[in-house]
Amino acid sequence: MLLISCPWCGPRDETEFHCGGEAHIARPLDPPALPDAAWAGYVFMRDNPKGWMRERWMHAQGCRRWFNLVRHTVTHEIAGAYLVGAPLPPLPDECP
Amino acid sequence: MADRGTTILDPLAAAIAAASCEEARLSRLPLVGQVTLRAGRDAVSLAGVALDLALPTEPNRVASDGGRAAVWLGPDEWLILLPRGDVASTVARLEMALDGGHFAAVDTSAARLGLALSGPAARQVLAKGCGLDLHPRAFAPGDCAQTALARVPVLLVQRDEAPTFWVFVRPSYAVFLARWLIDAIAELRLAPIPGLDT
Ligand SMILES: [Zn+2]
Repeated sequence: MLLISCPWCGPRDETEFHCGGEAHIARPLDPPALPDAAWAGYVFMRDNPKGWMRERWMHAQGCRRWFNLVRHTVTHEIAGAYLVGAPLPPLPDECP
Repeated sequence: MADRGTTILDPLAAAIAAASCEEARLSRLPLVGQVTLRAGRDAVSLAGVALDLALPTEPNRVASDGGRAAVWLGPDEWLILLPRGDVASTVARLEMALDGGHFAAVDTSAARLGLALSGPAARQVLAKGCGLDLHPRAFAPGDCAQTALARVPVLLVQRDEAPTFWVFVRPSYAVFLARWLIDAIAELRLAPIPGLDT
C-alpha cells in the first residue's frame, strides 16, 4: 500500500486515490486538423519509463482534486506532489 | 425535540442504542440542513460575511459558531451544516452576496446522514476500518476529513476531546456503516475473561 500525500489533505492510503497516468500530456489545440497518427499519439502513446515519472492522481475519496505526483515506477518511492499548474519540479535523478 | 425525521436508519434505532457502552456511544444525529458551496478564493470573505461565519481556508478544518458549522471539503468547496429551517434563507443570502460571480450554493440536505460516535474507545473503533491517523497529535477537535471508513466514503468531523466524532455518510451506505459500527463496538461490551483480564 502506497502512502500518498495529497497536496491538500496530507498523507492518505493509496486506496483513496485514482491514478490518471502520465502527467503533462497537452491536448492538441486543433483536433480536427490533426492527422490520425498524431491523434493516436496523443490518445495512446505514453513514455512508460523505468524510473522516475510525473503522474496525475486524483484524491477520489477525499477532496476529489487532481494533482501531480513524482513516483519511481520500479521502487514506488514518491519524491513529492505538486499542484496542477505549478512549475515542474526536477526529477530526483535530473540535474536541477 | 430534535428533528429525527424518517430515515433509512429508523429500523436500526434499537440496535444502535443497544450497541452503545461506556467506552463507545453510538447514536444517530438529528437531521441537519446541508448547503454545499462552491466558490473561488475571491468569494471566501464575501460568503463569510453573508453567513456571518468565516469559511475555513485551511484544509480539513471546521469553523463553528455553536448552531452552525462550515466544513472544508476542498480549496473551493465547503459544506455548511445548519438547522434545516435555515437552508432556504441561507442559500438565498449566498446567492445575493455572490451574485455575478462564479459560484454554486445548493441544498444538499438529503445527501448525507449523520452518526455520532463518542467515548474513550471511539478512536479504537474507527481505526478498525479507517487508515487515517486519528491520534490526538494528528487529528483534533475542529479537524475534519473526507476518507474511507469500512471502505465507505465518509466525512469525519471531530467535535470535542471526549472524543466525539460525527460520521456523515451517503444514505445508501448508512445502514451498512451503522451495522459495521455496531459490530466494531461489540467487543468492548464483552465480559472480562477471568485470569486474562485484570
Ligand atoms: Zn485531498
